Amino acid sequence: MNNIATHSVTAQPIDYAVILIYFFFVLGVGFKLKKNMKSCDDFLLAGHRIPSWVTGLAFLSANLGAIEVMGMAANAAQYGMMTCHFYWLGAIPAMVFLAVFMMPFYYKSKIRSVPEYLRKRFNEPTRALNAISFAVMTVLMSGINLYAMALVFKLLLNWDMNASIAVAALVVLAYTITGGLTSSIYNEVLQFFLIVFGLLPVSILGLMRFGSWQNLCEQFGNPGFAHIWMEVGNGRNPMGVDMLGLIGGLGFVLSFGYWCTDFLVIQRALAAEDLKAAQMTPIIAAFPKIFFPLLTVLPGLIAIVLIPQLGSNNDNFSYNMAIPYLLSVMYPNGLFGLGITALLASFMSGMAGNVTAFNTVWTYDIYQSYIAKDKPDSHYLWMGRVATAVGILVSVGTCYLVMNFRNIMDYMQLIFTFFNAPLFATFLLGMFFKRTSPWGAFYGLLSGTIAAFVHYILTVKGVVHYTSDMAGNFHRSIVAWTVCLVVTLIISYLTKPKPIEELRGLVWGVEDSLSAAEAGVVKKSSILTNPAFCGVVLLIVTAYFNYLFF
Amino acid sequence: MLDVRLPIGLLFLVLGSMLAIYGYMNPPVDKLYFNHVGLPLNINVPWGILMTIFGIIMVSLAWLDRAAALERELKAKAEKGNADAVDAG
Repeated sequence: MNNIATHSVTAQPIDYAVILIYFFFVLGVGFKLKKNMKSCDDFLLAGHRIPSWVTGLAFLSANLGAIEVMGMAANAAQYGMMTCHFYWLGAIPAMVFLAVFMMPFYYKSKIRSVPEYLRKRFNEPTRALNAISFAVMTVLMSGINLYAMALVFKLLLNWDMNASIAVAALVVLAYTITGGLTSSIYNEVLQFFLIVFGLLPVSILGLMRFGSWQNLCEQFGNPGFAHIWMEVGNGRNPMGVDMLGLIGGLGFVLSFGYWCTDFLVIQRALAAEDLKAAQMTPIIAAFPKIFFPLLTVLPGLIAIVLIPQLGSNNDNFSYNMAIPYLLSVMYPNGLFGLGITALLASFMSGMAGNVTAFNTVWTYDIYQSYIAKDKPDSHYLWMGRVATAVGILVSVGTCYLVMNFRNIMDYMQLIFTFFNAPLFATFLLGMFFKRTSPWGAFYGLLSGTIAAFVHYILTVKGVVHYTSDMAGNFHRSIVAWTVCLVVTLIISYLTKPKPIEELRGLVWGVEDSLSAAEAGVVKKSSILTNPAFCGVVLLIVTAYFNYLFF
Repeated sequence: MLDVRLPIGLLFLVLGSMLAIYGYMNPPVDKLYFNHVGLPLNINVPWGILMTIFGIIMVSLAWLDRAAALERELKAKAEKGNADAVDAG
């Protein structure tokens, strides 16, 4: 058997030079933007002046952290082409829905955060519940990035894990505390291009090695690895999921819950210069997203063929390490440095994304609302900076918590089932059904989250059984969503709804009091910048890919 | 405010040319094996050139935009100057 260790590259000065130059640019951007950060809005909301192509790419790369890159490649090595469901079923439809139907409410209601929408639409307690659970969720997520990064650097460069965690945390701290959300968004765009240029050669060289996609497919031990739908029906697929779990859990609850309500991604769109740009943000992000399997799934498939030890019990050969291994066996020095820098960038921007969403929710929805009202703007700017530092410190703590989980992807989906799955039911009812009452939303959200926890405990205790952790997560999300939906509806009919007057601009079908100009609607525009038209194009292309790899 | 294309372009310009030059000077002769098959090309060179081109495009877009903005500013200033002159007249 081919031994990787003898063929892998070791880092040379050129590789370190690439990493150092990247650090220099990242910090430079933060310091350059510092003088623009005059008010709290500048710092936390990027002053609503970023063009849509920038927010679009930031929207895309805010969730292109460790999970996307390493987790998806790991999934591909483990489950094959079915991993593409996370893109073509679990992302694109939800992104189109957000752009066409939900973004107008988010943008026009002039909210600064997702919890703030809940306050306007429902009441203070609902907002507080969401703000607190979101703050907890972001720091729990943020730690994943740090952990994955430390793991990669230990493996590839033999760096001490604690030292690399400290260095990455300090760099992220330096550029977020100086340039705030703008700096985070700029670095996300930079990281997007780095990931593309840093990882694409893996796929190119891999395909050159095999000659063609068909040749690669012939090498799979399990022929089902080359298909995304074929084995879902008979339940014998590698992922262990059934139709209901896949379409209802991943395709509906988890994906819509994440893309349509997670403030981490919504925040990027809200930073756009006008409503049209905000609507186009998810659309612009969705076009490259369709092709992302090329950067994540394909390397995973190449890895499982070329590195047969992958997935064995040896910790050093966990599926999560698929991409880092490929970098070390395929890349020559120089490109190796670029590949490492791309991974490093994705970890740091994944973390910065969480931290910049956390500091906004903390400052506006918790601190300004309940702890220190009516302070001067400079005070909140200061608080935003403090929250940034604290968020990073807590992430370092959660990083050590993640170390106890075997698979980072499972950890992440688990957290989403607790917080995002029920929240999506609340939003769906809140935005599209005006009878939904404030207390209905509150108790619905609370019971949905509790239902997910109870379901998790039952699964751990073995009372409820699933063929894989993934299937368990999909079904848990359906349970949480359904409980939230049912409880919200029942309590809504038992309690008083909000008067129509207070729902203007917040609910579908309730006339908007703002004039078109006030809301920043641009009247004349070409069909190519029409979100609905682009959305239909996206869905057609996505459907075609599903057919192509059926 | 800083145009994001400027730092991106400069970074790729620097990294790309570094990779291309390094690759040209250090071709990976027999160092790289891949399941006992040598890599088909010295990837550092073409990839470095591609990155450099991308960097140049980004930087030029940023510069063009800045030039256009300056031109608009000058024009606005000139028009304002004319209007003032008419007023004074």
